Amino acid sequence: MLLDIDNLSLTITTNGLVNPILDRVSLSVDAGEVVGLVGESGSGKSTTARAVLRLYPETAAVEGSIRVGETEVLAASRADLHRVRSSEVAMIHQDPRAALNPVRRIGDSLTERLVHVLGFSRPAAAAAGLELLEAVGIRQPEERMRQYPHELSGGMLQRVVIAAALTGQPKLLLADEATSALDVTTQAEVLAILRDLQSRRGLGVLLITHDLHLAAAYCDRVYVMYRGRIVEELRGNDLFHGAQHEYTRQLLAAVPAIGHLPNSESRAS
Amino acid sequence: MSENALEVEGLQKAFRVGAGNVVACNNVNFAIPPGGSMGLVGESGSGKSTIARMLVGLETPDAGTIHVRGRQLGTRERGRAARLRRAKEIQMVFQDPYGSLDRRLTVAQCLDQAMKLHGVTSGTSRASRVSGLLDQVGLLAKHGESKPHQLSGGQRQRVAIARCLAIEPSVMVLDEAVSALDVSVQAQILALLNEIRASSGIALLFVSHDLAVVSEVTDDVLVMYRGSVLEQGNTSQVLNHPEHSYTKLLLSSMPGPCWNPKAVMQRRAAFEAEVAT
Amino acid sequence: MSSLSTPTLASTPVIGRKKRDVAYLVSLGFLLLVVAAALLAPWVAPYAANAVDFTAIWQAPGAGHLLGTDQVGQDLFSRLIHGARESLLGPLALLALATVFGVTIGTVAAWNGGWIDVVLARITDVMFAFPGLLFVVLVIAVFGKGPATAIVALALAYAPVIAKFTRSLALAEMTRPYVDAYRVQGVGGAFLCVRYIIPNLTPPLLGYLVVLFGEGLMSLATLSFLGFGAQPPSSEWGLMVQEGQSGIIQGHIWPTLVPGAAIAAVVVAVNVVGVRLSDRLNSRFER
Repeated sequence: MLLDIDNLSLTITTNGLVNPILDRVSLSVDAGEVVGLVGESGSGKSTTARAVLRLYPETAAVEGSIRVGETEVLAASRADLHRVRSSEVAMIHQDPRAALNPVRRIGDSLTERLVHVLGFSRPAAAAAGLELLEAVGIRQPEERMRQYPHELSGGMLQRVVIAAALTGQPKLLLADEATSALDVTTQAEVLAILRDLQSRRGLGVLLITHDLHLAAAYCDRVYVMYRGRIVEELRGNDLFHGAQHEYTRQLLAAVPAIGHLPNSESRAS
Repeated sequence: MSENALEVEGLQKAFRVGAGNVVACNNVNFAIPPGGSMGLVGESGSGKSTIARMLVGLETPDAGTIHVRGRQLGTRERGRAARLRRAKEIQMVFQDPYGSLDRRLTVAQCLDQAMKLHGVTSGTSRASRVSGLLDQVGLLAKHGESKPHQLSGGQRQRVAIARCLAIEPSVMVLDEAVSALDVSVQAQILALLNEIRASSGIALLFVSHDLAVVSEVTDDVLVMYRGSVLEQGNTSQVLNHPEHSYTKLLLSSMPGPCWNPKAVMQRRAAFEAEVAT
Repeated sequence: MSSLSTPTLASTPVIGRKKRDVAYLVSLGFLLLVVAAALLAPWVAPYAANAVDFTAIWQAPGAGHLLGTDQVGQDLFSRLIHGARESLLGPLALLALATVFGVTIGTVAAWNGGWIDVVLARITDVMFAFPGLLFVVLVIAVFGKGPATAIVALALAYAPVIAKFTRSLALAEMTRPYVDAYRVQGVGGAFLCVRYIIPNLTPPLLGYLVVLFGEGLMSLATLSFLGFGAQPPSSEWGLMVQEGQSGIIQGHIWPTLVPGAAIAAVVVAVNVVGVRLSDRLNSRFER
């Protein structure tokens, strides 16, 4: 198992108020698998993803276990934690502009990690950078390497971010609403590329999203989170029809969809 | 034929960007009957938000006319009376429920000031109207004393809707008004808007990138791409039997049972090639 | 690290907060004491401001005279207390004047842009390039010396600085959607600025003004020291420093040190309180 979270509980105490954020969360991601984590805002899905990299406030009380490969993240030494963060797990966020330094060229952002963390020579890093940009479907990669973030569109930038995430040859990708800010056609494009990379490299992907249709259509398995708990685990295909939990059903019922136009009565008024 | 709540004819707008012009809105025409509901859909850069901003007077159109209930709106209001008259015709709910409310004012103050501005002079009648508005948008009386930061996203959007209703406009523009909300909250807000439309006869214009939302709450729809309307008509007709290749592309991009991102990529490339020629 | 390496959590430094708390409370307490002394000067000062006593000149601090006496035997402690009012009211007036001008110009420049903005930018550029004191001395040379002229001259020097600060705050504020929401309601530009935008700028502005108060106090004292500001027989602190100066060569440092230290202490305390105040107001507002 690539990622194995077992009974993870996270509590934050502020001003004497005990605030449980995660409550006995268990989930797993295998190599070559795309797993969805869905829920509404405040359900704890992002906190779960950040916990995988041990990113939570120092004041948080954490229980349970998070295993990335062989490493127990919650008890890892500094060196192990650094290895997990730098080369085993990569995280992609919603806003690609926040992930890239605005005053540096795309090429520099892309290659610096290869040079400084992984010890590539500059020419080798540049070649690897070009290859990565090609891998995420960017045409004219040489030209893109010389451009600055503001010169590229959101979809293009998110591809650059994915390319950069792959520089460390991670085994697990945490995508936190990574395509939510993109137009639908761009989102489809970015996800097609991600799917392609994922199957070729055998990556495990944890896709965090509020879009239930997307989770159902894209993920092998889907976990549904509600108020810090995982309430249900389903196959992606079964999400819309096989849900057992009352919360999941209500959530699914609230999702607008084309095809059935339920307000046809009200329009008669 | 009865007069329309909103009628837009030949609307035109270009922005100067660098050396060239970007056409944000190219000869756009549409009409919404009283109590009607229309969707304006498109991706970023389609010009849909520019149209919304021109309708409420935040941008000045280069050409074209906007009529509300048969009365033409000026392109640039001069003077207090003209400004207020325009505001009385069209109101808008913004996308960002966190930023579109003044963080210094309580909900009741916010509604009170909107009414005061629009000539409701009696303090007691304003106060009673505030509680009526809160009730109408599904908020409790105690929410009147809250500041925006004490409310959830859905509650804030209800306040924004109440603020529009306080001015009693003929048309309400909703610029991505539900896209920042969770689906369950989104459903509640959409239900509220449908209710308002049915009971008050206010015409709604939904500006949105989300075809599913538009399909649920609108009678008619306009599909826009780079400032131009590519397809327009009855919502269920357009979304269930699209004619334009771009509408088809948009629909096939939406994640769903038969979604194939790779096919979308090819369709999009084909469409962009078509546009280029 | 790579741009993608996960960001470390910004944990607030817990150490140091206690120290800052102490500094804040001490400063606040000190300022309250100074203000109280200024208000109650006639009652709390042991001597009159100009009570000359030739039998006790140039005394070091001691039992009879708490902080010593100057070359004509005036009690330094009493002069300090009597001078506090003028020393504190001066910068207050100066700031009030500069704020009215600065905030108006800054907001108008941000809202209208265009030529007003350009003119403001040029004026501030010139002001930044031109030594402030030189400008003030110039104004005084034209209009004659005295405390009122000094205050007006300094206010003119401070106004562009405040205008520029206000402008940048207002520009950021105007991108917030609530401003568009007011415009859609039909609120006019001037009313919108005065009624809604400026009040929303007050927290950061207030913090900045408190810091400027310290600076203003120092500038006014400097002018008095140079003889352009307060005139004898006033016991304004800058003037006291100047009057005490003659004794330094003969080894009598108290008449200079006492008012000098008072200026320094008030300025430091005001800065500490100002920074804390703006932090607190900002965090309360931003939530």
